[in-house]
Amino acid sequence: MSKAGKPKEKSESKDFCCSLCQKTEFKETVTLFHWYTQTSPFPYLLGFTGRTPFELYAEKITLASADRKFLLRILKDTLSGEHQAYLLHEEAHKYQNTFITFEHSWKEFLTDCQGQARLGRIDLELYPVKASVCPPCAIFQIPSFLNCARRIFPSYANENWKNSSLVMELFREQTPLTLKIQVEKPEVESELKRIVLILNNRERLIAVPRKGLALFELPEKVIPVQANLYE
Amino acid sequence: MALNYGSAGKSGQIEEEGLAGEKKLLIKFLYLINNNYHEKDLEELIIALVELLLPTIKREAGPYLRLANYQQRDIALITISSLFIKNSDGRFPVLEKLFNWKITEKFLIAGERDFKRYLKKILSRRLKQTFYYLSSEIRPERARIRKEILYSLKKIPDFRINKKNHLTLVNFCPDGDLSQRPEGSAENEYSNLLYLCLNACLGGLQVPRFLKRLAAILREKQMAIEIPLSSLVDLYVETQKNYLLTGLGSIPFASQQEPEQLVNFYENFHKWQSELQEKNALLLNKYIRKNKMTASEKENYLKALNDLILDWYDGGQEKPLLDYLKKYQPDLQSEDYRKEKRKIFEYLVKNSKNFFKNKLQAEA
Repeated sequence: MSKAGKPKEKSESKDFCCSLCQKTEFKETVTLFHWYTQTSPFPYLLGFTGRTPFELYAEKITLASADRKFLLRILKDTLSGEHQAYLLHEEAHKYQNTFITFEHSWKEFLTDCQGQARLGRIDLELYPVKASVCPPCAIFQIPSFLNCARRIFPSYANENWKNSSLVMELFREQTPLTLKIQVEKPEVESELKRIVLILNNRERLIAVPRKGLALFELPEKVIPVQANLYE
Repeated sequence: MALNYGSAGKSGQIEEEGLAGEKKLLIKFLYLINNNYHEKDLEELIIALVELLLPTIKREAGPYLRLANYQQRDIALITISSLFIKNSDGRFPVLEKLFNWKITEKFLIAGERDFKRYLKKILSRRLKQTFYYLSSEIRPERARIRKEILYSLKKIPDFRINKKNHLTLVNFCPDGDLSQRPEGSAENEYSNLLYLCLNACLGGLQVPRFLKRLAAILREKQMAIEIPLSSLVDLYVETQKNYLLTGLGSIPFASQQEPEQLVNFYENFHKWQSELQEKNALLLNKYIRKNKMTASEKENYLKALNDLILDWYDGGQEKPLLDYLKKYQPDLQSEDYRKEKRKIFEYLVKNSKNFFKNKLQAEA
């Protein structure tokens, strides 16, 4: 390997590496606690599509925020052994594309547009589980045709990010197509932790920006529809 | 612990003890492809890639081009982070494409040096892309370039600096005769010069070497010029920008190829290299027969040339030609090199470049 860099620079790299591979300390998070209520015998009634027979699923745990506005239900598919999380909130932008993290785990999960996240095969002990959710701090709708660098303003933003904007540039001559996103955030002190690009209902790409910049390689024939920022 | 991830268990991990350097990185790539990694693996991998990329960035960007508010380490991190973009399943689609099973399997049985080369190739290619995406933010240090040009011009014969109507003009007259200047507008003169610079691959050179090489070309073509100093600064900046974005400095080995093609290309490259070595050995035998070289010197030339070719493959010449030869002839003095060896070595280098150029053209 090449020679080591200067200590300050090296620690800078390490910080960036940590933000890429460790659980992020999101600024605007809501903590969810175990909700001591009787679990529903009909999981499909709450945050569940109901397409599969409910006997396949066993409800493991329900978590709620202190103000009871967020509700997170974790179900286990008894056949595959995988867990699914369902996040509920009365406002769509609070449960759609929201990060969920669990205490003691370094992985982070992102809900889809229905508030559902696949947790995979995890050993879930019931007590004590604490989760945090981080909804986007700004949402940008991407125009269907991007032919040159274009500035876009948020369709939703919290107080900190209402004056922010994105400069987007699609490099069509590159294979695969590459989308450059540069975030501009006047007078915002908080650090941007993630940029999520929503390609369609299922596919999303998650980047850790450097100085507000992220480069996304897009899958074939897919044009992104939305970009979300997380602080 | 409330949550344990079964997939990240230790059982699936390969014993890394005894593995060093790039092979260890390859194993980490394998963990990532199998979605069976720990955060430590990811961290080590990213730091290793950044450190591997930094010297290339320093070399490519040179001392005169800055990228807005991005430092060299930022460029490295931006380049690397695009590899580690996750999808909704928590996988790394870009990385998995570059280091798919077929490729990792090939390199698991290949030598460490081969994998290092592949890795450097992938990283340099992505670095070029990063420079391209950030091209609108390139800020040349014009004042510094101008100062260095003025300083260097005074040291090169045939270049003259004149003042005309408050304008600093740079003249180049091979025989002191400005009438050899091609007819046409100043714009045409600038375009012709830019064409000459790009064609002669003057990108990646620092100001003094750039001007020396430009003077040599103009002398060879018996061409006289008279351009404003600011245009000469523009000429230098444009040549360096072009080099940064397209990588003219190195042989453009498979710059736009897919990973699998790159592996195939690598196999071809080995064949070409041995073919070239045989050709060069035959050529050097002629020098031995004429008592211009000993057999051991011939071996040194061939080894040094081999190192240079590998550097071309890895992204470009990394040091002066003398240093390549000095590795195998430690007592070689620069004076002796200039008198006796340089012509031979430069001739070999030129032949080798043409050889690869022809091979690549035939492939295309």
